[in-house]
Amino acid sequence: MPKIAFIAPASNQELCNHGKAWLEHSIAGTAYLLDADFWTGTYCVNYPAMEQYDYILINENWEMYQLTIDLRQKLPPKTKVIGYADGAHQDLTRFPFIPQGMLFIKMLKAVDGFVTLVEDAVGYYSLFTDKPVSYLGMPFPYEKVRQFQIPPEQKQEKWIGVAGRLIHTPMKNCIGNLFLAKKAEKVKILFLEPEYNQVKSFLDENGFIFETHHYITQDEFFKKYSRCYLGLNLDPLGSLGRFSLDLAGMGIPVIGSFVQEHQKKLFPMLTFDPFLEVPRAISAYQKLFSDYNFYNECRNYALKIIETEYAHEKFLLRWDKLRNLINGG
Amino acid sequence: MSKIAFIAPASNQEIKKYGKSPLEHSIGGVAHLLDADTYFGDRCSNYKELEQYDYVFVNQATTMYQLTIDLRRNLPARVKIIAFADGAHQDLTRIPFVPDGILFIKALQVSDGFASIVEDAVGYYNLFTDKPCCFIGIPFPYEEVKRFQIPPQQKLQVKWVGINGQLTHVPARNSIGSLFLTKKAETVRILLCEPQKDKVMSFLNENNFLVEVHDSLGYTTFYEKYSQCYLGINLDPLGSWGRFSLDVAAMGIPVIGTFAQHTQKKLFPMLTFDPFLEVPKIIATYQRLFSDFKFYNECRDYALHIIETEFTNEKLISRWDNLRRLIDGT
Repeated sequence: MPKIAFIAPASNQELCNHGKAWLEHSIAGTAYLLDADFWTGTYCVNYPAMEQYDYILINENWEMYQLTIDLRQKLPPKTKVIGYADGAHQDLTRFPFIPQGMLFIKMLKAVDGFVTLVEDAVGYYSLFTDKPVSYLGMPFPYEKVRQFQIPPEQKQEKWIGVAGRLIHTPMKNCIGNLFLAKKAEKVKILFLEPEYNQVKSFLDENGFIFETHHYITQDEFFKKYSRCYLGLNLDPLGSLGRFSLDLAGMGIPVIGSFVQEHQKKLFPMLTFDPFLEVPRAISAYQKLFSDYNFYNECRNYALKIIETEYAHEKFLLRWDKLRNLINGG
Repeated sequence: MSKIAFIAPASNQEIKKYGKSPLEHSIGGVAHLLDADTYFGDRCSNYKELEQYDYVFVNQATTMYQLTIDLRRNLPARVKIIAFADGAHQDLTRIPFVPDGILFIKALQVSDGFASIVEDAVGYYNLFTDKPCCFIGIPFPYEEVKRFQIPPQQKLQVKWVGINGQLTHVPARNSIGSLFLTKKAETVRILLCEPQKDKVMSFLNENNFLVEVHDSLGYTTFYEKYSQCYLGINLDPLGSWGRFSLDVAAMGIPVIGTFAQHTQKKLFPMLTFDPFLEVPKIIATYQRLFSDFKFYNECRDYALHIIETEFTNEKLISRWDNLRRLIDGT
C-alpha cells in the first residue's frame, strides 16, 4: 500500500501533519479516499519527514508553487510529487504573470504529474509540460447527501438556489443568476451574501424576493438548500462546480455553465455559455417550471450519473491510471 | 439627418467636443460612420450643449456609468441616450459589484438603448434591462488594410506567427496559451507585443521561443509588421469584438481563436475553439494549417469573403437603423 501525503495551503505556515481526513465534498475527501495523511502549510524545513511518502499531492494555488518546486528539488526521486489543481483552470490568466504565472509554469514542468478537476482542461495544462497530466476529480459523499432529498411534489413554494456571491466573488456571475430568476414565475431566491447590508437596497429596488445567509457548514448548506426547486450556477470560471453536484445530489436540477465539470456531466440539457447563450438558458429555465416531465428527466439523469460515474471506485481507477503514468507503467 | 454625439472616456474630465473622427478600426470609427461629433470626458456640467443632439452614444467603462445616468436624468426625453458596450461582456463580473456593478446595471436600465459589439451577448445584457439591446459592432477600414496582403506562398521560407495579447500587462488574454501552442508544430518565429520586454526575455529564452518582442504600435506599423505572418493566434477568453482576428484576417492571414470573440467566430468558424477546454482540437488544427495548404487557403478565403460581405459599412448602418427604430418605437 503506497504511503501518501496530501498538502493543503495554510498561509505562511511550516508544514504540519493533521493525520487522516474525513469524507467530505472537498479536497479533504481526496485525502480520505487515498488514505493520505493530511498536511497543511506553505513551506517545508523538515524534508526527512516527507521522505516517508511514495506520493505527495499538493493542492495548488499561487502560495504553493514554490513549495511544490522545492519539494521536487529536495526529495529523492522515489517520492513522487503531484500537483493537484485547485481554483479555476483560467487561473494562469487571472493572476500576474510575474512572478505567479512564471512560477506556475515552472511548477508544472517540475512535478512528476499533475491532476485536474476538469476533464476537458487536461489539454490546457498539458500545453506547458511534458509530464503526465490526468483528470482525477474529487470524491462525493452521496450516501450522506441523498438523505436531504425532498420529492419535488412537496415544493409548493418555489425556492431558487443561486450560486456565488455578489460582493466577494462577482466573477462567479451571481448577478446573471439572480436576473435569470426573474424570467419565469415569482420565485424566492436563496443565496450566500455575508455583506447583505451593502446590497439590500439594490435587491429591493430590483424587486427580488430573497433570503441571504452567512457562511454555513456543509450540513447546514444541505439542510437549507434541500428545499430548492432548482439551482442556478451560471459561473464562467472553469472548475469542479461543487454547487451543481451538491444540489444534484439532493435531486435538484441546476442550470449552469459548460466550463464546470459537474454541471456539464450531470445536466447536459441545462448547460450553456453564461454570456452567449442566455436566450437558451431562459427557455430552459422556463421549461423547468412548465414541463414537469422535462424537470424529472433532468433530475433523474443527474442522479443516475452520480450513482454510476461519481462512484468512489471510478475515482480510485483514475488515481491508479495516473500512478501508472507517473511510474512509466 | 439625425444629429449624433459620441462620448468616449477621458478620466476625470468635463466632456469636451473634438469634432469629427477619422475612419479607424476603433470606436472612433463608429462616430465617423454615424457622422457623430466626438466628445471626450466622464462628467457633464453643460447639458445645454448636448440638447442639440437626437442621439448621444456613451462609450461604457466604469468611469462612464454615472455620466450615462446623469445625461438621461438631465437631458430632455427627445434626446436618446445610448450606452455603447466596450471592453468584454464579462465585465460586469470583473468589476467590483459595489459600486461599479450596481451602477452598470442602473446605466443599462435608464439608458434608452444599448449597443453591443458581440452579437451573441445581446441576450446577456438584456437580462438586466427591458430597454432595446442590439448588436452594432465596429466599422472596419478594409480598403486600407487589404493593401497589406502578402500572398501566403511568399511566407513559406520563414514562418512567422503573430500572437495577440501581452504577458505582463493583460495576462487575462491568455497570450501564454497562444505562445505555448506555437511549440506544437514546426519551428516558427513569433511576433509578440510586450512593452516590458526585459521582464520576460529570460523566461522566453529558457523556454526556447524564437521571438521578436515589440512595443505598442500604431495602426499602420502594426499592419506593416504583422502582414509578414503566416498565421495568428488569439486564444483570448475575454468576450469582446476581437480586433486582432479581424486585423490579421484582412491581411489574408488565418487566425486560431476563441468563440467568445465576435470577429473570430464569424471569420474563422473552422479555427474557433474554447481556449481551455478544446486544446487537443486546437493543436490538431494548428498543425493542419502547416500541413494542409488547401485547408489554409479555405480558411483564408472564407474570412476575406465574410469581411467583404458582412463587415461592410452598409451592414453597420443598417443595424444602427434597426436599433434607432426600436428606441424610437417606430
